[in-house]
Amino acid sequence: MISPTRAVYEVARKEVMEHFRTKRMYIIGGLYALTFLAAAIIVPVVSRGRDLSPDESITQVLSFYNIFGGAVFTSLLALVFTADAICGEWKDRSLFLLFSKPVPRWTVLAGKVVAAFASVLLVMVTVFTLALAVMLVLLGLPEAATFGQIARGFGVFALAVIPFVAFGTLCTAVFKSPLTSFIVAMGMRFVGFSLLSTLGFFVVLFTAEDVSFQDLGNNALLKFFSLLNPSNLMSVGASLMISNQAQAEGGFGLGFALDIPTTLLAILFHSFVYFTIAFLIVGRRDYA
Amino acid sequence: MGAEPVAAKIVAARSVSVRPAKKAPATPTAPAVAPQKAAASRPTFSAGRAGAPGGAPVVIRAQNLHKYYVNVHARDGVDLELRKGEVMGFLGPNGAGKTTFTKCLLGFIKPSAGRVELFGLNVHEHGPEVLGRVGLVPDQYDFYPLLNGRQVLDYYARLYGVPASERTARVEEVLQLVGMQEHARRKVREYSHGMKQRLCIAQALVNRPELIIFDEPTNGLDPRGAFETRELMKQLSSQGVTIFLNSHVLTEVEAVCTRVAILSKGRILVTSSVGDLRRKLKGNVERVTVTLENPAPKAESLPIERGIANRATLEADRLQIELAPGAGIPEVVNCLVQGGFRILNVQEDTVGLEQIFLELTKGEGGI
Repeated sequence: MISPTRAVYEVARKEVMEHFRTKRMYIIGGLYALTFLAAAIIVPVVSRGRDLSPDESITQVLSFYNIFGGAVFTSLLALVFTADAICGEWKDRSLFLLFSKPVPRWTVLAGKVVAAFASVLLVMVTVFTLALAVMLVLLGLPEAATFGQIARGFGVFALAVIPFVAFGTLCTAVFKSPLTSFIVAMGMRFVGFSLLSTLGFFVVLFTAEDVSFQDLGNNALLKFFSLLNPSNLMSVGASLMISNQAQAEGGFGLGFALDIPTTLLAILFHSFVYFTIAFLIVGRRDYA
Repeated sequence: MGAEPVAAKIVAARSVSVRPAKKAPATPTAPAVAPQKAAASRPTFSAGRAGAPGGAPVVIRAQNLHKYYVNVHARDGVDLELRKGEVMGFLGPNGAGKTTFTKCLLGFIKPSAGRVELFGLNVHEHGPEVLGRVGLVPDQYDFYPLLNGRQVLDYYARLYGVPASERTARVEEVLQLVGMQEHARRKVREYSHGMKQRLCIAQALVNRPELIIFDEPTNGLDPRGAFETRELMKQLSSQGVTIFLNSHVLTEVEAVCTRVAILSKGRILVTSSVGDLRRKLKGNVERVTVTLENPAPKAESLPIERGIANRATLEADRLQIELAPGAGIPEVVNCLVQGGFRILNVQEDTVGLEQIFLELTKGEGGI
């Protein structure tokens, strides 16, 4: 019998090996890399007349790209890797054999979660490094402090992938069909979570008394609803990456500032809720 | 299903040609299958020590096991005991509860009532501890299509905790055992059903289990594959591995198992050796059919006069003899040859497991 840690590692190892053999990984990862590289090349060309410094040019590329392309592709990868992690194996009938092995079910799920996050992270780091290298060649060397900011922002951005991993895990635990799981995960990513955070705006508008539009940014309930959308947490990472205080405080249209501790707390909240439900379901369900 | 009695007796034709009487009296032999040469060259499987089941420790114990499902009537409890080294065939009509029992056995589902133990441990409390000593060949399964056979086995070996120093050798050993070495580098998605079945058997052996649960193991295998699987089961059994065989192929159960348990509507109808079941069903009477080249009425009376038959009936050239206690085929052959008869064929009429199964599960529902 192996230790739970070892079991998580073994499952994760095999899952990563599989992720990197799938076409979907190369399609999504390839698109991510291509669009990022395209942004790294096109944005400086477009803003050529503005005589920007290397720092400004790089942050411009990152601000343009990370909020839109980066957030979409990384969250998509996270959901793709997790949405069929359990129900896909159930449908393919490999789960029965897996659960007949002397490892607790939670370690199987944990291994899959770790593998999904590690795979996304690996893709992110590869693509980001590649894009950064291209930017350095095309735009010149920025100040050392800029690298620190980028690294800090990238760290938060990467951590903000975890709620998506957790949500995909929840979907794969709840649904029996991989297709349903995938559709629900995608639906929530691109529509549901946004609606949820928008709902907060109306809730506050109709319930709070004497709240001016300017004061909305300080409303705790509105903040809470906004944080229910994991995409907003990615925006924090993106804003930190470009070190644009005005944009960071503006939360990229959120209407309020999001500091790192609050963001990390929100990441923890999402992850805890989704993972807890997912682990409970997988631990108790009859998969035989 | 119709209530018509099982008229046609399934006769396991262990026929021996005796042509003509010059030859020494023949005795029934095992099915005419050549010893498998491949088996000899394959590695032996050293999971446990062979031991007599009588005093051997209990491997599977189910006590008053119940599982209720919505819309399904309450089932009687299942009581079952399987000792180390035994090979038990688990039979029952569709819907009898075989799969449910197997699921309970492995801790995949919790029983509504009762208790199930593997190696003296409650499987629901000691899941991983118990499962590490078990190999499972389920009836429905698949593998990871993007991995090759060797990688699949390596993965399972890792999960079983096979030490790194032994892992490669162990994987090769089981690949060789199931004859899959040539295909081990191919991706599983390129495998045929039969190849997957072999791989499935291999994964069940990679941890050198003390108990192997086979669920329809020869399903989808070609005749050679099915034969080799049966031989493998026998080989494992001879090495002390306990085998629980859930199969619809009754001849397979008959060939491999030392005991059978027949399950119906959630209860065990009978647990016994195939021989005991036969004796119970036939009332301890053995029958032999002899085909004669020169039949004559005297053939009917001669065995009775010599005291080797209780009854004999001649129909055309076929003499059906109900043997007296203690009498066997050699006595019958001697008696007839000395009486001047030329024997073409001697056939022992054996009540097959299929007939036993049909008799016992008559009116118990099914397909």
